Parts: sequence; structure tokens; C-alpha cells
Amino acid sequence: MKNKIKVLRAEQDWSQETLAKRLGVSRQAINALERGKHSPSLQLAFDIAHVFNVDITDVFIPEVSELPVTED
Amino acid sequence: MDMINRIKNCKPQFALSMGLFLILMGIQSVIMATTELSLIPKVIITLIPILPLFWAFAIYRRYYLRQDEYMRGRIGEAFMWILGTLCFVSYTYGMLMYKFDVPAVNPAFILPIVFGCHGLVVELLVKRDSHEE
Repeated sequence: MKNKIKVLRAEQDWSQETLAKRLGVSRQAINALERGKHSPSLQLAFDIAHVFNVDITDVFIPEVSELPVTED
Repeated sequence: MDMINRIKNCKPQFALSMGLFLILMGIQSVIMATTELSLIPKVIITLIPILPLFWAFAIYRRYYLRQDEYMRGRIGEAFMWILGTLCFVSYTYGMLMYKFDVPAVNPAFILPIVFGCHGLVVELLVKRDSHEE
């Protein structure tokens, strides 16, 4: 899942360390999130949106699902 | 208390448990070398250094639970690598034992190797994730 964490962090002029402290996670976690190496849990995703004071959909861009479309 | 401080608190306790382990190993070696013991006290003295290892395991479990979801994932992946490697190595060793005279390996070395290599693998996995593509 792609995200705009790096952009939003730069807008706030926060370091990875600062954001990590605000979220209560490690700097490595922020680094992995920004590089798309880690998909956050729903709780962490909401927490990230909350610290930037934006909507969750303004931070995360879900990739197109490959699930088959079912006909009901 | 933030996450980093909570994790830092585990480290002195872990070092203390390792120090206690070494002290008990020393005491055990001296007693075994200088005293003639009957079977049950001998077994107790032989196994007594294991006690701080249980404590160390409990500390490590607490350390794991205090990590964030990303680090927990990397620690889990590292254990998967170590467990997989250990299984394949022991299986290969066992297969060789059927046909060849292989040198004996003391299973007591498994624990320090697993925990030592585990820390190294965690570091490598975190480095992999932070590597520029």
C-alpha cells in the first residue's frame, strides 16, 4: 500500500524520530512505512492520520484489489 | 514512559541475568571440580545455571511485547529464519549420521547460537528494509 507519510512529514518539518515519538513506534517502523516495506495495522494507520490531522484516505493509497468481482 | 524507555529498561535486566548465568556457571564448575556429590545434588548443581536463562527468556518476551508492530514482525521473521535453518541443519546432520561417523555436537550450544544469530538476523532484516532501491 502506497502512502504520503514522507510528504506529510516534510510539510510538518518533522524528522522520522519526531514522528516515531508522536506515534509511540520505532524510527525503523517509520522508515519502513515510508518506503512501503511495511503495511500498518488499521489502528496505526488511523493514528498516523490523526497526528497529521488529515483523513486516513489522505495518507494511504490502497492498491487495486485483485479479488474477483462477485455478482449478487 | 515512551516505547524507547520501556525497551531500554529491559536491557540492564537482561545483562544482569546473563551475568548471573556466568557466575552460576563458575560456581558450578568449582563445586563439580572440588566436591564429591551424590546423584541428586550433582544434577541440581549441574542444572542450576539454567535458572537465569528462564529469567532472561521472560525479559526477552517482555521486550518483544513492548516493540511496535513493525519490529515484532521483523523479530518473528528472524525467528522463522533461525528455526528453519536450525531444522535444516539438524536434519542434514541426522541424515549424515546414518551413513557416516560425524563429530558429536553438544546441544547446549544451540541456545546461545539461536539467540546470538537471531539478534543479527533482526539487524539484517531492518537494514534490508531501509536499503535504498
